[in-house]
Amino acid sequence: MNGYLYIPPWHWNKPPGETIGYRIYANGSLDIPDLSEMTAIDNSFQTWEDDGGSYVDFTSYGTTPYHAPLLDPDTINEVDFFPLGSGGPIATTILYRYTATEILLEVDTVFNEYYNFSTNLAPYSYDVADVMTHEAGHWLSLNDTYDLMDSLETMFGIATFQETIKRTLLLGDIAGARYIYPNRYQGGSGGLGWWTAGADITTGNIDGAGSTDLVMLWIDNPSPNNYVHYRLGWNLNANDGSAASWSANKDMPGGIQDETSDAGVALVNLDGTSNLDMVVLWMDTASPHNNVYYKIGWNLNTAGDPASWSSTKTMPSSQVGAVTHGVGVSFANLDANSRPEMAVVWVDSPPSGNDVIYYKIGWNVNTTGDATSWSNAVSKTGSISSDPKGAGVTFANIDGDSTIDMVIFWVEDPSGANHGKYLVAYDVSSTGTVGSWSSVKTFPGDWQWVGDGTAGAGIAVADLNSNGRTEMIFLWIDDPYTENYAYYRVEWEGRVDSHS
Amino acid sequence: MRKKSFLAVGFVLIGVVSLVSYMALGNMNSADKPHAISNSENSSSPVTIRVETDKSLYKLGEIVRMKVFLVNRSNDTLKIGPVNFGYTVFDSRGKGLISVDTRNLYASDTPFILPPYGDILLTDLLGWGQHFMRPEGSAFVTETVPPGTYTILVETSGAIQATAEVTATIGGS
Repeated sequence: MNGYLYIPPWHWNKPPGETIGYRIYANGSLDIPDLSEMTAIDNSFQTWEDDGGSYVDFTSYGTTPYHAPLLDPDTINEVDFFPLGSGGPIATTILYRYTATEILLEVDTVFNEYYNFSTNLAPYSYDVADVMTHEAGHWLSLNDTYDLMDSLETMFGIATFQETIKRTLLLGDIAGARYIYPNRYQGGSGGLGWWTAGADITTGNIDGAGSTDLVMLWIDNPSPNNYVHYRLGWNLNANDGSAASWSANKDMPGGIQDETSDAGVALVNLDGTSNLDMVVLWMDTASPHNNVYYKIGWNLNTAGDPASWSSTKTMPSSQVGAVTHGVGVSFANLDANSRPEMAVVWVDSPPSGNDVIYYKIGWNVNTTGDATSWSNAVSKTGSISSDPKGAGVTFANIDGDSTIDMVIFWVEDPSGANHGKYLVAYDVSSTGTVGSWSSVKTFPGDWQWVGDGTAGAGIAVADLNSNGRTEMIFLWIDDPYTENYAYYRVEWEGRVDSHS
Repeated sequence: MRKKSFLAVGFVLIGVVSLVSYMALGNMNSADKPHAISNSENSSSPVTIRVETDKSLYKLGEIVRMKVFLVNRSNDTLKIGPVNFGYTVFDSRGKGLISVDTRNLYASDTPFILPPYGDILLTDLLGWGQHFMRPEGSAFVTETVPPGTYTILVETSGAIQATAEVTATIGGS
């Protein structure tokens, strides 16, 4: 299985490039006279560091002649060997946190010398590397799991003599570390210009190479008209989510209206040919209500260029508000007939009260890209606490049952650091109703570097590592005072409840 | 497995003193009495926790030692799975000063067996050295709290999720 447990927002306040230092009690274990446990411990930390999908970094600062003062901080992260008594744990990790922020300040691990330890699988001994790899997961704030479905994972909270399975991280362990300390990838080389008015991403196999490709789309906002551009990230790496390469910037021909609140993009095969079609959607900030428009780039070739573009199409927008802060689009076949449905999600920002998420279903989109009919707008209140700066939506199978789910992502822009948030609409029925809503999920904290200013957001899904579970890919446009840049991160395994 | 010989000669941090022996100490002065037995009585779980400090009044710098007991409120013998524990210290204004938690790797999926209406010692390792920590830039500093009354919220997680509070008064030199 692929589970992990994490209590947000415990974390080290260490951005990429900073390290978690540690020392080892110089005398090591009394059971191991050759001090080979030192190497075993270093290797255990290295195991977590070796995962390319997170930026975890540990550094050995050598040894210390002192035992760790149990349950009293001394500013040294230490791996110690000390008797904790019979009946006690094999090892315990002690985490010191600054209460106000839950930032980790110090972590110590103590091997209980009541038990026997070895590095050569001696009878009736616990393997140092097995135990330490587990404890090093606690250093990252991962919790023990006791679910027997996770019993082969490193973070399973029970160990046995001569056990070595915890030396090797499984997907659940890795997904947990990546959730707390995720890699952040730039969406292609170069910036997007100083003024961006929305963005989105979607995935598909465009070049036929077999790996997932990424379409990253954004709206440039010069004066007077806005323009739609996109890049392709080719062949996302199955182990860490990075793109093997990026295309040059590509353009949707012609401009759009001069003020846009956000954009969406989706790949779908509408005309029944062998090539994917690309639906580009945007929210024009017209008055008295904003309007949703879209165009279709027909039959993308292996370089990501459409053979032609449709005319501009309109979603009936009388139920859209006068002020919006995000829009997205995704396709799925909800009613199981021959034609797909398109879901359009947007965020209304009424003059008073909190922002509201709405979605509308365009039923049975035909081969020219027109919906046969549109549903009324359906609202989801109480999810957004401050104005977003971009939103996105994707259909995905998150819970593994036979009914499709829908994930809505947005970036909130309060004073200070921005926050990526999402929720899952479980089991969208054949009539477009939602079975249940998840709670709002948040990127674990401010150390996720969403930035202080955001100019667009989007979400896509793919099974990057081909294990039958869904990865979620979150995009946001960082909007500092200078040029804007796109970034994305991956939430592996889509285990949205693993960390709740 | 063998029990290591040096355990007997003194590496034990904190001596295990049972609740019974505490109660037997009839003539100790009030500051030395075990203090503030408080538990999560409102819980519907048959198992709660009880926390004791070794004293109620401490000198500056003195370690506040705590014991945590698992308490069985049922008439069944209960096998309990792995339990983690920790505490947070609050000052008199309710400001959290430091949080300390443990994560424990056990050799059994039921390391604790509770007799009917009985209790067992979960840990006697909890102690607070009157320190708190605060970040300073990218580093952090450790400081000692001033005299005052502090509330210690003990919390268990894992098989037993319970809380209990004790107070400790730090009364100067």
